[in-house]
Amino acid sequence: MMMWRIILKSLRQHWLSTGLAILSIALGVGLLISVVSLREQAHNNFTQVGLGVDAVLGPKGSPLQIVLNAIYNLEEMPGKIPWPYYQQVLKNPIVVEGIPFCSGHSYAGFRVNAIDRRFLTDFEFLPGQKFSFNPADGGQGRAFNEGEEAVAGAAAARELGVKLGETFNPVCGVTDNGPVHHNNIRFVGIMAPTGTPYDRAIYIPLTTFYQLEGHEAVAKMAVDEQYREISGAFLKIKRISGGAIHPGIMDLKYEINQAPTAQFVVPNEVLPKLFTMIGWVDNTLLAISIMVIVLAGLFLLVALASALRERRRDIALMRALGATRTTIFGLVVSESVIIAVLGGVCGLVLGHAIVAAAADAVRVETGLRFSEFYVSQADWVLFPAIIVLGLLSGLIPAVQAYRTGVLKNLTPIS
Amino acid sequence: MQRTFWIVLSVAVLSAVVVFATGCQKKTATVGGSATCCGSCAAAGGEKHEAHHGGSLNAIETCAVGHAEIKVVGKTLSCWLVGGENETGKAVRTADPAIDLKVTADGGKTWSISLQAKPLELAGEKVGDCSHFEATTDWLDGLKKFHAEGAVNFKGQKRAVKIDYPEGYDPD
Repeated sequence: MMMWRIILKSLRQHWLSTGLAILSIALGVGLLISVVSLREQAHNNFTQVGLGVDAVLGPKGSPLQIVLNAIYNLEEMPGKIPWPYYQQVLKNPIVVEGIPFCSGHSYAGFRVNAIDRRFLTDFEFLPGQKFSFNPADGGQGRAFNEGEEAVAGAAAARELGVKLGETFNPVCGVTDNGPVHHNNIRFVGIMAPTGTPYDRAIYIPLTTFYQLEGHEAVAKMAVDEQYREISGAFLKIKRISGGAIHPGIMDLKYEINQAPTAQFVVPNEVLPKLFTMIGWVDNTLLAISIMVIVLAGLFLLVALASALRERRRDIALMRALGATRTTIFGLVVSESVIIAVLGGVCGLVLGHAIVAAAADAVRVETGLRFSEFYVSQADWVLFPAIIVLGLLSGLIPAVQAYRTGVLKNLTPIS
Repeated sequence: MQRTFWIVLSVAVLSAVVVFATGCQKKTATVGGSATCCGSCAAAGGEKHEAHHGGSLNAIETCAVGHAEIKVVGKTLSCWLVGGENETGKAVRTADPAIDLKVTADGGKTWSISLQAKPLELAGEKVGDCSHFEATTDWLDGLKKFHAEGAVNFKGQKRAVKIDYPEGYDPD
């Protein structure tokens, strides 16, 4: 108990340098924790959750572009696929269901996607979770029926101030300067928040898309299924035991990808490529946070070493009273480890607070869900790493303390 | 008291070192089909060729010309004619309605087999313009290793097909 008291007293005595060392370690750790947590959660959002889509049937073009357009309401679809081809794909025994859609329109900066009604009623955006219009969940109204009706995702409705019964005119294209379709489409529902990118779009019936003002030629084509076109379709693939996707997906993907008109894109395969492309950003942030921690470790070393200079007489006195060299060594190392651990604890809190603050901003902007309570790899290795940092930082001052001569330092000063 | 202090310190240090050393190992995972690499691309440090159906890749004449991906499931042998080098995900069609092979098992026993065109309909293939062939026969059941030879009209020429299953044929 005496040892702990000595350590605590020393920490209190040098409260300024101790506080600064704790603060610098906390900043580095906080940065590291938040970067790793956000990176892992972003990766999970993009790759593991899948947002209810096993595969996207889309036109030829960049697979990443297709996924970003179909699921994340970003980019533009590189073309269209013939309706009969989609029907042919649906006949494959491992395809359970398809939800066709047409993208390429917008309203006040939000995408207007024409989609099959089953998207609103049957589609599971997360396992077991369907879109809701129930006021108890935060929704309003109902799913659209045929005709000039629309529903708004929660984020789109909030930002546009959408009220049920209001009308809007979609714009051709994904920028605001395209030709306007004067159809006065009426909002009949607002979807409950899902925390997914689906919140950031407006949805209209597929049939309405073909009949928009100015789409007369498209409408004529769409009457005959032979010439009808869609931007793509969400595909649900058959599951085998354990909930795994049917292995036949490999053959189906290969077969469709040989076709001149369409391609089969598995979001979970494509999105990791996005991370490869932007990986340097989080690697840079990671490197910066590690450098901050290393600098904090050096600061701790300097703080301990300078404190030691003032304590030489105390150490010599302790030695004279019976403390061994090893005890003195242990005292200094322990002090260093305690400072590092305190910094680690503060950094842990800070890191998760940063994630909490970023989570809200990211969710509003992209619809991706982050949790401040997510436990990342950094959380697991934090304390072992911090103890190692404390040990290393305390090593040189501890050796200096170990070598402190008793007689020399107990000599009367005046 | 001093003893407790040292025990606490030692445990903290030991656990830190152990967790740090074991916790930082990177997890790796493989997804999709198997991958092989021909001699020339391996020598050049090139990327591995992916067998998109999880079968074995057998070079048709050379790795640059094309491959026959072979997979045996139960009593059925499937063959996909695919591109050369890293284009093993692209089908190459042939006008041949069938590919005849002479199969030699590891023990020396031989059979003849005729792989019939099985068009990939979603790719718009039909017999006479097809990249996928299949045959089902009883003796394939349980056949783990074999060598096969035949010929196929591939990229404008009649070319020899040599198959080493399951390791794949690689003349390079």
